[in-house]
Amino acid sequence: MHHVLSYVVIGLAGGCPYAVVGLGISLVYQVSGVINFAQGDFVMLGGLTYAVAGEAGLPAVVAAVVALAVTAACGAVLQVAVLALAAGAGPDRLITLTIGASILIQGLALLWFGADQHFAAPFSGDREVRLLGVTLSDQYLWCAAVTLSAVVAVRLLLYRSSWGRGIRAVAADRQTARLVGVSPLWMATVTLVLAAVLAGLAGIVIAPLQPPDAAVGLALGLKGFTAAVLGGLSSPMGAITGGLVVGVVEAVVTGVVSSGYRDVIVYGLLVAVLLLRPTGLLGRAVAERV
Amino acid sequence: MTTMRSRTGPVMGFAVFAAVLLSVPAVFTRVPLYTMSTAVLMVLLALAALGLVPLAGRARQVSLGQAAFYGIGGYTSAILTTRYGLGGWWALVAGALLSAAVAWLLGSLIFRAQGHYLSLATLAFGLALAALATQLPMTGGNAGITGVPALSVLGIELSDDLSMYYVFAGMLLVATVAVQVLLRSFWGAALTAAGDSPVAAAASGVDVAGLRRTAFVVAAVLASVAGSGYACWYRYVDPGVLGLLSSVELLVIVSVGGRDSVWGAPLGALGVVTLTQLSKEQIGPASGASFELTAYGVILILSLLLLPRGLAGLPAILLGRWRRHRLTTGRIPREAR
Amino acid sequence: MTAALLEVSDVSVRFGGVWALRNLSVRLDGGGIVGLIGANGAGKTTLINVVTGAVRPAQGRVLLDGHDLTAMTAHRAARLGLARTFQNIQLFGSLSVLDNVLMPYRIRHRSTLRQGRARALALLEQVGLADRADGRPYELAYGQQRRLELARALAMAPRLILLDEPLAGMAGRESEEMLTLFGRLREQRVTLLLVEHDVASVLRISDRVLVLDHGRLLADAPAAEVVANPAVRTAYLGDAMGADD
Repeated sequence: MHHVLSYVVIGLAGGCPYAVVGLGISLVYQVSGVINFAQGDFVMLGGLTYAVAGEAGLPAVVAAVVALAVTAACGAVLQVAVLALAAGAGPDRLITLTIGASILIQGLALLWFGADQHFAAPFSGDREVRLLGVTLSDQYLWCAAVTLSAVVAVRLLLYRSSWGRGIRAVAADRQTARLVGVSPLWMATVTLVLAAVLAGLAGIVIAPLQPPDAAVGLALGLKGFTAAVLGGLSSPMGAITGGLVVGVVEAVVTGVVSSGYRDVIVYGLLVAVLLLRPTGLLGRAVAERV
Repeated sequence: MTTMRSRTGPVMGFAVFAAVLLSVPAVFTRVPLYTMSTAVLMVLLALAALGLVPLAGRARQVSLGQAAFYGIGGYTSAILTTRYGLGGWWALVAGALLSAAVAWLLGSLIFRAQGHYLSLATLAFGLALAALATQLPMTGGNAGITGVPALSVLGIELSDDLSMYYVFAGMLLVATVAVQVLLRSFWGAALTAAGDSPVAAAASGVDVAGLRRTAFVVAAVLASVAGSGYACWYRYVDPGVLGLLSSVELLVIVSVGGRDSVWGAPLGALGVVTLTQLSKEQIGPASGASFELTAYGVILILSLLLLPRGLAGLPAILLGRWRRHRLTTGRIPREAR
Repeated sequence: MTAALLEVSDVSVRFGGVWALRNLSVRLDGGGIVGLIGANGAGKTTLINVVTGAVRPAQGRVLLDGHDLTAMTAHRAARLGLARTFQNIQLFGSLSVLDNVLMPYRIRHRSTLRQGRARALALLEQVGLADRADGRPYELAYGQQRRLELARALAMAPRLILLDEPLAGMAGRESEEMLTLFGRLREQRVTLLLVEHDVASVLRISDRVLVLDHGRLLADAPAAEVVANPAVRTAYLGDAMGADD
């Protein structure tokens, strides 16, 4: 029992980055109707750039800014130079384009950074904290803090800024949004850059815990998808809960069952949710957006 | 249905295709870059990708699960032949039946939901299977299964590339004809309609979910047969065949070749195999893999943006048919694929 | 009492905290043009979605000829004789104009290609598109696309056609042609449920008008009575009528 509790604590902390990734996926899906397969590679890119910049001797804050700038630029390029050019294409082609972007980013990262893992120092050294009888690296607290700040920032952006109003208008009804002077294309760009920055943040905070390599994006992205789908895909805040659920499942399976079956169960969870409860654990039935 | 322009066109097309397939050995043994084993790989990939033409091209359902069914075919063949001594062709049939059953079940559940979950679900399904294959004793873990016996036809063992090529090129030809007949049938028209507008198709009495499921099963069976062929030719399977890259490869093949035409699969397979060979010979196997990923990404994006109908659509563009549509209407089709 | 053509009984739909439809009951006995009007967000589109099965109501039932549509998939409802057109035109862009009509006809009537072809051509003739049969839908002008959608709906030999904003975006002459077509369909005993923003046209052509307001049925009466109804005038028609006078 005590063990299970400790896994839950680790899982909640470890699930925070997945929540942030899922938040980005769900925002983009809301605004563009696209499942962005490149989201996991943004996470990889953020973490890898941060770690490599750190290894090159840049101060952590500078390295983080560089990493976020790279992922944001990457998100902007994906929207402006790829997705926007396919205007009028159906969702199937847009999805395939993001798959192309995903393997392209992965390939370029392999060419530039090689296939090796890169290491980043924890934000506040090798300190540890004891929480509910569990000894945790300080970094897990950073994960939770960054996630919380990101969620608050996204909420403020969505509900207190003109961009946020635009994003919500497009998500609710593209046609009407266009009529009142909101450009869906511009809002899609804002959202994709926002999603990329969120992914970059997740990549940075998770880098000291799981040293990133060029191939890690797929696994992180899939956990983000699971988070978003558990939350119902069209509910950004549901994705947060979804991410925590994924984190806990992963920690409990690793601890109680066997680490070998971790991926089977985490990916199997996504399949099961999609097959049995596609509107998410928290979602309700919503008609297809036409 | 009624838009069939002429009945001789497709027959001519298949005659040319058969002639090309027959002449491949003569060409591939004489030019650099290609060998008979690349020819076998090309035919197997074309067979595995062919099912994406009705599924992704017509019904517009993107599947990343083709490699999973390729893997199910390969592993079923490997397990049944090495552990239970079953004949290679029976194992191939068993794999195809298992794949069909799995696809039917997955399809029954996933297509109840509207939206574009198929890509996600099939991706997760493939990766879960790959992770499972590394764990289960029956699948031999990371090491995979070795010693898969070769297929034989009329008592002749298909142990060399040439005989293997002829048999699977023949199967590809038959499968291409079968898929073409399906696409030209009423079923194909309904599937295309369901891809163009699912809501309007349903309002016209089309069972959209059922059609998508059937297309998914067809794609799974074709991929499974190709996977079984691969296992018996390579004499070995490992979890790598289930991986994401193989699925993306198959998606790249039909996107480059052309998603709405049966010629897309063989054309795309030729293109992708050529690219892989180039990257191996020019860059070397070590950094070749990262080059391959980058190139797949670039090619996938460029082909979707610039050649929505793929290589198979080039003749129509060159003959100006596409342009005529635009000129006579002044309206660019909303869903110009 | 015989079964009504369409019976919507006590239907409620809730989106988030808002009732899109609340305890709505409507009965159509067949024949004629029934107009459905209401301000944006009054629940018109939701009602269409409930009837076609795209949205499942929180409570209540929808019967077509006594068949329960509430839990039925859209294609089954269509095969029972429920056809529709769409607010944003939905055509099969990869099929020819003729095939757009032929495909549903063959599904509904299980006909041979030859019979279906003749029938589909006749339907295209009826909407004035017979000469465009071999073309593609995107080669048609906007108004023609709307008429093709109507021909496709007619191919289902429907008992009831839901028309979702069929006049939207049409020029004066085009919408006159469309209204004439509706009039001819009425003579053929097809029931039309017409959802439309153009209130003047609805009032002119409809035999009966339903007015929705905030998810409730505000009025259900012949057009002349609806115009005179003070509740309707204040809640909704006021501006439109004022502009017309």
